[in-house]
Amino acid sequence: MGKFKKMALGMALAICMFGSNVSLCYAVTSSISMDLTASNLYAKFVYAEQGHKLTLTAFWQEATPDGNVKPGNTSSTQFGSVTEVIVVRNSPDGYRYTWGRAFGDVDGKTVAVTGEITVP
Amino acid sequence: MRRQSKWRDSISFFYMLTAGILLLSACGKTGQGGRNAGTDEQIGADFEYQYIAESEEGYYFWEPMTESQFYPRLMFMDKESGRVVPLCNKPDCPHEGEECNAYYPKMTLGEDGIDRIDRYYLQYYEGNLYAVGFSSDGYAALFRIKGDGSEWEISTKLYRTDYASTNIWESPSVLINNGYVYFIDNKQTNMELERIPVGGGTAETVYEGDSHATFTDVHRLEGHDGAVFFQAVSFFDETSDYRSGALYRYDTASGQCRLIKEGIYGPYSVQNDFVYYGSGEGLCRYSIQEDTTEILSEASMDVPNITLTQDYIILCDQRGDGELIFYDYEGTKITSVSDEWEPRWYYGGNSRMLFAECWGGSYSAPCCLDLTCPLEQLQWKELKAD
Repeated sequence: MGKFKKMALGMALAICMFGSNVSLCYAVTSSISMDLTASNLYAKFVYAEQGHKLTLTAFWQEATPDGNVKPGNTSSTQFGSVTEVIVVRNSPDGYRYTWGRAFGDVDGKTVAVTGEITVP
Repeated sequence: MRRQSKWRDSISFFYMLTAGILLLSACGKTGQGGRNAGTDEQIGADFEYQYIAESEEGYYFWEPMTESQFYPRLMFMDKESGRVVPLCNKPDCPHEGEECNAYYPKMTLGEDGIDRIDRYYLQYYEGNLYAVGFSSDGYAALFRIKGDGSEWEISTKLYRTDYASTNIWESPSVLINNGYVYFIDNKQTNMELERIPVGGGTAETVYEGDSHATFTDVHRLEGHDGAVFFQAVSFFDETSDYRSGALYRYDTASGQCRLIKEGIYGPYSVQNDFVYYGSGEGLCRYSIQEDTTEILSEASMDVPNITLTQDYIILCDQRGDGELIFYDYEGTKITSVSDEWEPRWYYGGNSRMLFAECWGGSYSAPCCLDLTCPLEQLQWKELKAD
């Protein structure tokens, strides 16, 4: 590679490393998913960079046998070298999930959200 | 002679006039407990879920969080114009992101935050808006928001939660009525109905279930005519189920709590000491005073949501296709409404407007239905900023 090209590449790399908005140079991959049945909720949030506070919050609505709707949410937070967070919950006896969605936060900011999932 | 005759004629006319007035009044009555359209007696709001707050000027609701909207806002719909705007009075605010006054911090451990994602409790009371959230020291708390959204603060701490250790939050059931906050911690195995003065004080238990029960569920708080109504069901073994639930009444002045009727375990509405509800027998009206049940319509129903308006009894089958069915107070079916927006969580409303979270095929959204429109034009409309 020519000297000029090496210099340009080095400068670009330096800008990426020390620039205030790293996202301009590359995007950290994140993914979020949720599986929901009448009795089980499973959600997963992956953030492909270590050293962050990752929080996955799963929201749900449950139907009771007497026609009531009860909302709730649960969250799990991981730090350090962990790059994925998982939330699992079974609905209580007599209750059934009717709706759910999940949000993934990185360092307190929401970066990903699933679509809404409804259970017939 | 002529003078006496005139006097008798006058008296006769007076009696005839009085009799005529009385007869006309009797023609207007529709039978025991009947309600006439056009009567001066007003029916107030009838919300089954306090997720839409009504003030004199309009309605407040939480904007849904979506894949493109990470900062849901508190919204306001003006009653007169129908305009929907974020509740923010900052000049030149673009109403986007955390800087907008319509945005409120979400629940986070160690900080005050409001439970405002996905349509939770909102109530307008004595000039302020109230929402539920989590305090920095671990309490489920009632937050007070000024009607213009410019300020907010913790109003009343309700109970200490285990959110910090379990990370599981179940929204409490809350109703402000006559100076008190009535609340239920839905995480309890044996739920209790408690109350605490707005602003803080000592909580007192209004209702607790049987001490031998393995599980007690208390729910559906509604305030009517100086009382708080609620339902409760206790489970003792595997044979117990929700159909053994009952309706109770707590008199806020006397502090007396009494059983109204067993078997009213589904959605209900109360008006003038009558309880309206749907059951396998049909649309029922129970007289609290007389302890009698009248079946207004024999169409079997499986716990439909129910709203009483000035002219109609409105049922919503939110567990089915979300169809709305309108009855008059004689039990005659008037019309039904079903369209592309299907209520999957029906909130209730008043004589002018109904509200629900509806499913539009690809996403759900808060919606309203304008009851002032002609019956054949009734349809759900998505509530979103103009």
